[in-house]
Amino acid sequence: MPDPVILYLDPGTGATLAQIALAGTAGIAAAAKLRMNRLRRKTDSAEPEEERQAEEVTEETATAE
Amino acid sequence: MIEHGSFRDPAARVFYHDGRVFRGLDETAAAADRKAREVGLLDTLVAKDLFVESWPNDEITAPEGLPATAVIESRRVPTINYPSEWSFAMLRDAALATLDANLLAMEQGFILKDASAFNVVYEGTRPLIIDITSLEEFGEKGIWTAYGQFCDHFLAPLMLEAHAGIAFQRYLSGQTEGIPIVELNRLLRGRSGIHKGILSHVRLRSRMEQRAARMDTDRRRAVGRMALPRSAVIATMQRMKSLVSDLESSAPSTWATYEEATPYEQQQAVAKTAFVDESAGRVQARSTAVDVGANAGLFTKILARHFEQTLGIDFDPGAIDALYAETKRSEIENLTPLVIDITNPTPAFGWQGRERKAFTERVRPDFATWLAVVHHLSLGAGIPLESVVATILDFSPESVVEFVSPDDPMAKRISASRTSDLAPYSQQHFEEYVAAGGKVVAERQVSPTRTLYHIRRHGD
Repeated sequence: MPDPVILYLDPGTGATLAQIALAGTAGIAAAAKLRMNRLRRKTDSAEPEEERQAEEVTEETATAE
Repeated sequence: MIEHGSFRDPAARVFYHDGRVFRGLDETAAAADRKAREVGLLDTLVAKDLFVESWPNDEITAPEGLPATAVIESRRVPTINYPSEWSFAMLRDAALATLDANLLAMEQGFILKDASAFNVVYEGTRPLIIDITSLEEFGEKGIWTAYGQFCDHFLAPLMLEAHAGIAFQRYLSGQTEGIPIVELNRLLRGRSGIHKGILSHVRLRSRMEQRAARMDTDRRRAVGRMALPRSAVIATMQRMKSLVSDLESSAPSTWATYEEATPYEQQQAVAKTAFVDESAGRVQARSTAVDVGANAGLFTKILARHFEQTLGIDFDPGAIDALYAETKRSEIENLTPLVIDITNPTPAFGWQGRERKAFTERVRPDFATWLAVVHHLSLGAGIPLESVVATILDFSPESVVEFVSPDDPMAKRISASRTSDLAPYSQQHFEEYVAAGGKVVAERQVSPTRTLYHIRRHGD
């Protein structure tokens, strides 16, 4: 079954699904990175202040997703 | 006069009046436009060189049958040009302009409802979005409706050239919707498919298109109601911007280094430059000039000093890409390089074969230069000299043409592999054909085998 025929029927659904999935994987990646950083923070207490603040911003973005 | 190609957005239809451009807006479009102006978004987009200037015009009423809640006028750009006529860096910059406009709009709670590459037009070396009514309110949650279109119109052709080494122009020519990502998916198999962004925007999308095809209407409706938080849509656009910025062409170019590579051309360059400069100075109308076979743009830049806008056209995308970079670097603002094969200029296409216009309809120059081109057309491409001269006379009222005699080393090289007889090709024939439709204003021999003519069409 050739794909262009499918596209002709419905151009939007596939692209929307892809976009949602992409935002989801990006969200998961950001959350995972955050968790890793938290873990590292527990093991390494001498963390610079700016880095901690930057992570808080990332955390807000990730939870928004 | 109503623009035939503007039917796709029924909420804002384009019409012309006295050579000016207007849009008739329905209630929804008028409200979105008013709000975008109130928050200063349109001013910002214009100030950042992303949108063409536009303003409400209450004195003009939209023609019968068009939406008429509001009329918006916009500045007319000198020449409409199409994505298949751009070089790699030009399509990339147009993509980045589309993303930048979206990101600025998102800051103010707006989004561009489509991402057609035909919404962008090059004025000089600036990609400008001319679809000024494509802004709509986004709110806090939603979807980047134009994501799929952006990928087909911009990302797919750029990736084709970056990862498969294939210049995209002939694949976009005659196309209104770019290159479908699902086709790019099949083209980028094996090694060419292991680059950044392929997995997320090509493989994933193709998989999702297959899944969508199996969905019933209710499931599709459910997907249609899905939404992301604004921050997630912004993040998607930002990642796309970083992906597009990193793409580089890997297509080979045959002519980009021509001017550097052939010293015999350089010897004549001084004499040719002077003749072109003098001839251009004699032309009365100063609106548009075209350098046919622009190559690295040596003569295009001279024309740009005489005319309001100059187009440098060449069939080689590599040459045009180099000229684009050089023009941007030297800050020449009225020169637009375009990929045009003069033996096969962009035809009219789209709905009813006239949604998009032919190159020869969009561009009617006052002056054109045909330097080191005629022998390529006649001896190389096999177009009869008589037809070449008639085309030159038809293209612009005045022109400078270089005639290269059959004894010239380059002429010999081009015709070396020809076995069949060609139509008559000699300086005498050339002058006869010119006399049939015009007259020679000036001529100068620049080498034993090459002569330049300034030609004026009869009646002009």
